[in-house]
Amino acid sequence: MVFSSITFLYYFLPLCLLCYFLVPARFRNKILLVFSLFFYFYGESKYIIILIFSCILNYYAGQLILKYPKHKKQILIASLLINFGLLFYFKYFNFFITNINHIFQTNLPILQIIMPIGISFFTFQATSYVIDIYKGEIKPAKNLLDFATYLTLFPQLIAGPIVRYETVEQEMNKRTTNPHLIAKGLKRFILGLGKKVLIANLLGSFAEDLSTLVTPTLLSFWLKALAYTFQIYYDFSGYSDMAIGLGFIFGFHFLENFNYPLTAKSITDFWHRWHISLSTWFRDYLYIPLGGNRHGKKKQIRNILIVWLATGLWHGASWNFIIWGLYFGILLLIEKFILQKFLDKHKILGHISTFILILLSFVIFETDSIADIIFFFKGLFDLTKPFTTIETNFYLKNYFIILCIAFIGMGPWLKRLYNKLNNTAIGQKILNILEPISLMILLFIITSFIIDDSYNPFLYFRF
Amino acid sequence: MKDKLTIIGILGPLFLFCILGICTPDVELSKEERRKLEQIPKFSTTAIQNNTYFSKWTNYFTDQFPYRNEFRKLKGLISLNVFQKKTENNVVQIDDTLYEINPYIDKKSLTHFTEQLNKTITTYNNASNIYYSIIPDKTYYLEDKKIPKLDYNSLVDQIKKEFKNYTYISLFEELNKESYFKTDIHWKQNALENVLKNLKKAMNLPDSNLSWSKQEVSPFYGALKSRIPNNIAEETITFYTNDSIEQAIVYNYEKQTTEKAYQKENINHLDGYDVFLSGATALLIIENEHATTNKELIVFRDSFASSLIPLLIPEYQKITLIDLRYIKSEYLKNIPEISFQNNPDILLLYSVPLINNSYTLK
Repeated sequence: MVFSSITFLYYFLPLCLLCYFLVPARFRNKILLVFSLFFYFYGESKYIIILIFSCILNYYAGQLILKYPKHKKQILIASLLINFGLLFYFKYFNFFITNINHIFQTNLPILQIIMPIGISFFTFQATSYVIDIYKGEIKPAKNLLDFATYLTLFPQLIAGPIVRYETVEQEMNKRTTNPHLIAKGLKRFILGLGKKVLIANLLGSFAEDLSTLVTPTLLSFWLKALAYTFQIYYDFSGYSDMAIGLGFIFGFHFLENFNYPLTAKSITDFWHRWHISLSTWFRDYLYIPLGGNRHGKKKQIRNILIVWLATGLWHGASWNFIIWGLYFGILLLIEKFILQKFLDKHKILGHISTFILILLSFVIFETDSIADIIFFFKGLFDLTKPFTTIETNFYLKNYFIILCIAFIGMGPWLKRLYNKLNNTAIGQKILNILEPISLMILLFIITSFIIDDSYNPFLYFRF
Repeated sequence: MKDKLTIIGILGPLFLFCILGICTPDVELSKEERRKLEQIPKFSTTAIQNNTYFSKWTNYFTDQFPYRNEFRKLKGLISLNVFQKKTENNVVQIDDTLYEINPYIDKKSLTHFTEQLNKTITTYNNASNIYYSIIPDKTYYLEDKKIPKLDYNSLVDQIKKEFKNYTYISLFEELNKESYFKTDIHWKQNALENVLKNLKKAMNLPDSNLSWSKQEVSPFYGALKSRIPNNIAEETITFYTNDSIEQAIVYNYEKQTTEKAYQKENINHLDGYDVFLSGATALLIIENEHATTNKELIVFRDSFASSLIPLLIPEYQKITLIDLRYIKSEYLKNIPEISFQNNPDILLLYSVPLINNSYTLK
């Protein structure tokens, strides 16, 4: 089930909230578990078993580590092997076989495997839980049902953020909710939904329209790169907003996952702001265990490249994701060892160059093959192509307002304006009335776009 | 205060529409969208296994959502006025008329079209009276230079090259944007006077002074309206008839039934254009004992012909309408009712949208 659907908004969510708030606090985790399992079953019926298996495996791995401290390393390794083995099988096996066949001219069979949605997210959550118990940083969950509730929690199950157990450890046992938190959560959820439905989806169809041009122009290539970038940002950050908002409603405080990444002043800064839960996961569970920057420059470079290769692969079993990851790895190395001081001095140049590099990165991210990447890059820099045509202008005009909204929304400017207004007595009075009404209108507008959706993709099926 | 209002303002509609959705009876058809709406899906373990069961539920909830049409109109309103978006599903609204935007000639489709027609004609016929017309879509008549348009001249030239042995009857000058429905791709029968004159002249038919009576049927919701949820008024189909047309026998080969040329009740079909010659069908044979000539006509056609051909009924003893989208050309030889022996006139009457997407021609 996806958040941007009538089923979720008008049936699943009201029923879930009704059951959740009607039962006594001690049953609330169980209610969340039942609804979360149904949420997953609705979208990925046959793979519910994989999710349940992951719950059981990792819960008992945590218990065993505590019970048999002498063998905790073996238990950890075994659980990691099974977790990542499953991930490898479902996500990477066919990619691996295809490449083996290509390199060695063999004819190994490709299996009919459909990847369970969200497997990368729940595998990373589960492994972080077991590793943290191994390191003694968290206590295991009280019981299997509580752990299963954490791992399957529907707000973040299929599109993140990756919530570590330490973040919600206290709240799994005891959490409070109040009208302020519920209102805050609803507001965050609606704004996230708006980002997904009104901006990401529309810019996705802008990119699709531009793809149909028989004679693509220089401008159309750049607009398409821009549309891709905004689509991915607003879709992904919209999902995170919805997850965080739903978390508030149920009394959870998930960590922020995006912090205006498109306004970053460098690529390093970008990755401090983009999909924060993933980059910190790789930092804590891969980069630092590999030695981080503690064993000299050569090993640091190796470690950075490994982390970014893994980051690329995490996004999908395809060469474009590997190139995408390494692209960032190399850019980060260049920044770290060559350009850092220059970028610190020339901030505006930093912002502009970072934005362009991000734009180019999402061209790699969105295209399916290396040939397509080359074609796209040629298009972006082929000055012999016409700059624009009637068709390009027509589509640009068609999506111009949405592009403007996307530009304004990518920075913290609106939030600052809101905060300024909210800090004045009259502003507060206006917002007290205007904000709830605006949110309700926004809900109706979003609903109208979902009802008549011609384009509502789920971008995370490869994650 | 703000928190309470926010909770009521958001949770209120969520709960309200949840209850309304459960209580409101399901609707089977959407006239506005010209399609059947999803009904409660049937449970099966196979459907669960291949993930279709719940996706049907998703479609069901979306299709049966209370005030669905009002929400679709709201979307159109926001798209058009707030986002200043001109197109929706490749349909653009200019003033109160909808146009389809497709500025590219599909060369493969064009080749497929000419090859299929040439193959059919050469297989069955050696007559000399072969005519063809290309019906422009209304975007041709759009004066807005900022809207991308197909290169119609190039399309016609390419077809002319492949149809060298047939007589071309141009209709481009006989039509204008008022000749088409505002919400549909089709032309209006009551705007075809010049088209009819031109065809008759080119096909050497007498300019008989027939009397016509005008009839109307409504509401008509065009195909383009179903693709863009803007608030555009419903339309009326106007058609002309006379005794000759009323007495003609229309034999539907597919259904093995005889029908009338006009069927007013078909305005309630998902496609109201079915009023004309029962809409999409593979083969129709129209016989008219009271024809002004003893000539026969075979028309290879798409849906545009449905409204034009009734106006030719008074002139022909027999008209055969063949839609190659629904019948393979090689099957035609097995149908004794189709006769190429009496030196019939042959008319290839196709619209630009079909020529540019002709892959369904068999």
